Amino acid sequence: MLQQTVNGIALGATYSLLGLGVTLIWGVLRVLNFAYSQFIVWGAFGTLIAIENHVPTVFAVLIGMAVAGVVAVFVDMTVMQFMRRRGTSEFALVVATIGVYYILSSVAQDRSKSQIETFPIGGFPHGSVDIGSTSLPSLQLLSLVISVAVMIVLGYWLNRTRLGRATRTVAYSAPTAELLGVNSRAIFALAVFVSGCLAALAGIFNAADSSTLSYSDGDQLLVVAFAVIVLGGMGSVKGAVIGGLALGLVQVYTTLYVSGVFSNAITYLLIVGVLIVRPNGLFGVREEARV
Amino acid sequence: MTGASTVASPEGLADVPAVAIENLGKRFGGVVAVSDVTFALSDETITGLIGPNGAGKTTLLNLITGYLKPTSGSIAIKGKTVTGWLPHAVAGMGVARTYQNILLLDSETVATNILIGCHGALQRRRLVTRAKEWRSRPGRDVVERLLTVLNLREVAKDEVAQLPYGMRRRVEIARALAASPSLLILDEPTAGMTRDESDEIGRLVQQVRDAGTTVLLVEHNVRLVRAICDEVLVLQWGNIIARDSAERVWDDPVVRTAYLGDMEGQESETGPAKQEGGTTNAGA
Repeated sequence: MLQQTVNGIALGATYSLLGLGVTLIWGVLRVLNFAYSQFIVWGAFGTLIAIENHVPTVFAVLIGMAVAGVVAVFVDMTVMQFMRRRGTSEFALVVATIGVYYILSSVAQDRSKSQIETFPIGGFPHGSVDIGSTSLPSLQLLSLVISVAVMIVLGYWLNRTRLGRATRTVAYSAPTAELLGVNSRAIFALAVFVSGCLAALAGIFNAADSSTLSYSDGDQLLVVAFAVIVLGGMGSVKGAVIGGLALGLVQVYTTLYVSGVFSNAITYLLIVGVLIVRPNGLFGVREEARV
Repeated sequence: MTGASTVASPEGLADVPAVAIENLGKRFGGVVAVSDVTFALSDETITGLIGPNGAGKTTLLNLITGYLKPTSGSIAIKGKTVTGWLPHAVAGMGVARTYQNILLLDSETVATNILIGCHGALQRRRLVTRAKEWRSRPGRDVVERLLTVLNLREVAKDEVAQLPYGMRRRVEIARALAASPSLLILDEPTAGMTRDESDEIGRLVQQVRDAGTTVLLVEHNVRLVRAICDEVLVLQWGNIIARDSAERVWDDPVVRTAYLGDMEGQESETGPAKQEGGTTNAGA
């Protein structure tokens, strides 16, 4: 039981990373970004290509994060910015993100010739760490540590820094923020860049965990990310972390004690149950208080 | 109508008006909201901007702050043309404002709302200063001072959404002052306030002017306008129809007709002289 709890927390840590990225985009830009799935993939591919070119793993990870961040900003400053200026509805923006998803996915698919590629994990932590009577794979421990660190840094940034407060103001109302001297476009770009970096991190950990990388890896992870933020409360940083960990634990428990086949079905039924009781999610915040 | 614009004199910046607006116009489709408006605001003065509803007052403020782009004309802040600039860039020139409909971050505390107002002032600091003050949580001293000045200390940690209307107004003014503005634009700052509260705001605005800030005040409270404004601009149908001192402007028959309405004999009952202590509803 203890071992499974540790496994669940480790799985949930990656889910939390995914949730943090999506909740940041949604909180600031108020759009569910389906292209996020490909930010996950492009980040992992960025790292893969860097490793293939003999870049040390730590730098390869940073390059992967930068690739996803830059792609995310590029998408936002072109397609999304153009549509926002035209006063497009949120639903139309979602459709646009689906279009971007297909474009990015096609490029990734072309690069990998529609094959699953091997993701070299030589430079990543391997083996396991004994914690009391339990054992945790080093890679998952690293994922957990990074998730917690990201949560702390994000929380500090949003609540204690000038730029963080500006981000919260933009999340509340971009026009109001502008009149207070906040460059909302720069804040959009910053939030999207950070979000892309987090997507890349999750994608890299996922690829390292399975030692493989596919252009479609992000699809399943995107569904998880959406589930995490809905469960935790959309726009809530704390909700993304707790939601991710809860989802990881529930998946591990249901696989172990109920059925591996029905694991996802039970997990998502539980989410529906939580939403019936708490429509705004576990840490749902009011509409004007996102991020 | 007066209001010929002054421009930067060759002698230097001393004669550069805080705001210089020339032939400013704004159309919404076929509707002319602001038409060929020209005026300049002198440094360290309080200028009242009055006029009936639909006169174009808020549109004019939105044009000055960059929230709307003008159809024609130009706007200069401290001699620098800012026509077409984005709102955050205009705010970066030291322009702060409050709104007719209060725009606060309702789920945040009073102190946080004021601290957010410091964004522009903190951003304008030199990088070296920023680095030095990084650990001292810059802006907190400004918040502390404004909590005292605006009498908000007791509610500093309260969520703004829980506050009564008059207090929310004061929070919004505090947030605008937190930007250390050179031009402060107040859009009906005493709306919904009691007489004592209005007087308090009036005294505060005078202190702000005396400290070196230029104030543009949109207000329906005639008593307040007469008490604190150095001069008054009267707007009607998007045009400035008069500009004079706060005392003399009411004697202008055009203003009396436009602002107080065509009273046809009732003027002696409702004219400016009878409105001491009251807030006219003309145009409200």
